[in-house]
Amino acid sequence: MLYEEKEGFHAGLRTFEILLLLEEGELDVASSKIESQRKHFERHRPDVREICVNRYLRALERNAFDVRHPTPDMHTLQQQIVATTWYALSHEAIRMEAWIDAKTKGIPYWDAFVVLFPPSAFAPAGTD
Amino acid sequence: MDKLRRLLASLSKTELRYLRAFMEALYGKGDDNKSVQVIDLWQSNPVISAEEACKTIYGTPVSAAFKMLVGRICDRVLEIYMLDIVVSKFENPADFEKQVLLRDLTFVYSLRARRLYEDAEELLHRIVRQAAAFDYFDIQSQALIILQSYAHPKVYAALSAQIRETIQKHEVEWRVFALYNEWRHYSSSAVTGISAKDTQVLATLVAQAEELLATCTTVRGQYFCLQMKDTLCQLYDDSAGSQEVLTTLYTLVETYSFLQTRERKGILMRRISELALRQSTFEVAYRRGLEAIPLHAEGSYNAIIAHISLAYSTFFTHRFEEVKQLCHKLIPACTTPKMARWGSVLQYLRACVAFLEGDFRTAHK
Repeated sequence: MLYEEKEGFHAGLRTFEILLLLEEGELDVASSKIESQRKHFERHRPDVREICVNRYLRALERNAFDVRHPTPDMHTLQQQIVATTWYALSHEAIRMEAWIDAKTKGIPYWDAFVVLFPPSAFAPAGTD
Repeated sequence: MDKLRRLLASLSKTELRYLRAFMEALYGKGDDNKSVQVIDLWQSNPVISAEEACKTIYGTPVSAAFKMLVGRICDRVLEIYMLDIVVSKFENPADFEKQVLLRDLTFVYSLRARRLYEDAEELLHRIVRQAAAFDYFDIQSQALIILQSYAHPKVYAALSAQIRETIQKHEVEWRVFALYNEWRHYSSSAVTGISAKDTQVLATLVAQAEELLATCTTVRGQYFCLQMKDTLCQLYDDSAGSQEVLTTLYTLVETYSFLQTRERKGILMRRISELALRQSTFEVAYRRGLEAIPLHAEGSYNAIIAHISLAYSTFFTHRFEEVKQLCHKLIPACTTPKMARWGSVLQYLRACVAFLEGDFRTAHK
């Protein structure tokens, strides 16, 4: 149903699907999904962050999906993603910069997630 | 007959007994009372058709007299509803007060018809006081106009000024409500995205409401205007603006009892939770989300939306088991097409939990 929201959740779901395929090593399918996402963005109006994410994924594809040895292009796009605003209550619950960070360091996404959203940052009950 | 069947079915046993007594008092006891006969027929066969009932009473399947009889009984049932205005039936005390005030206005005419002028005047004064306390300017102005029509020449001018002021407030409030209704039409797609053109329309509507309220403030008008403004702040990604608006809204709801409904408080808590999520203060979002849930009726659309912000805050505060439980409980509950979207969002969140746990196969499903 969320796929019907062409300018909202649709983009987020596609990105999530691509990340899953990359995690599972389905690189060919991921490639075609990245291309189809690009085409989708041509027809609809994605926001700046979504465009940056897609561009990064395309650069990643050109680099044979090698995140650990990023090209200057990938590096620039990563910086652009970081510069855009991310919202928790959105279709990007798996935060792209954290995923890139995890992949670059060769650690599971969970470890990057904990760094980005550390449990210690949550105040004990009744303090706000 | 369908309408009568629905109305009769809505009455409790006591109310039905009272209706029968009322009919007997009005139209006499015994077999001649056709109204009581209709009620008896309905009680013995709740799905009885109009033709059957008409044939039993008048000996013919179609009769103009039967239609009039049914209309009369419907009116009496509505009168029975009037007797049932009790505070326990209303969630919001202000709604109860409004019903009582409207009923009291009709009592004024009954008292005057019986030449009980002093009692009518006393009741009118009470209505004016109560309506002013709850910001019901429509009822207040109506009561003041009746008072004025019978008033002594000495107080006539003072009453005129009071009526003018009340009518002005009433007009402002209703114009704000009209803007609010228009705003709802344009903001209905705010969740799934709203066009720049519609955002512009919303901004114009908010500006118009603020302009109206600058000349004459009413609490309800202010409340609805702030609600519109909150949506606009969301569209403009203005967290500071949202924070300010939500704080004022919270103060208004806490200060004025007639704005206090569980639903309103719940929506407000949810909005505060959403704002906290936007500001990445997840623990605050989690706690506000928890506060919002019990304020909504279980299974209602608002309850489902409140659960969404709670689910997100639960996710970002590493309470993954809670996310799974929420999804397990709520996805089957998203039955209507309107709720289905939120069910899909929860499925997405459940997949994200699986992704975090490294269970990609489950996430893909």
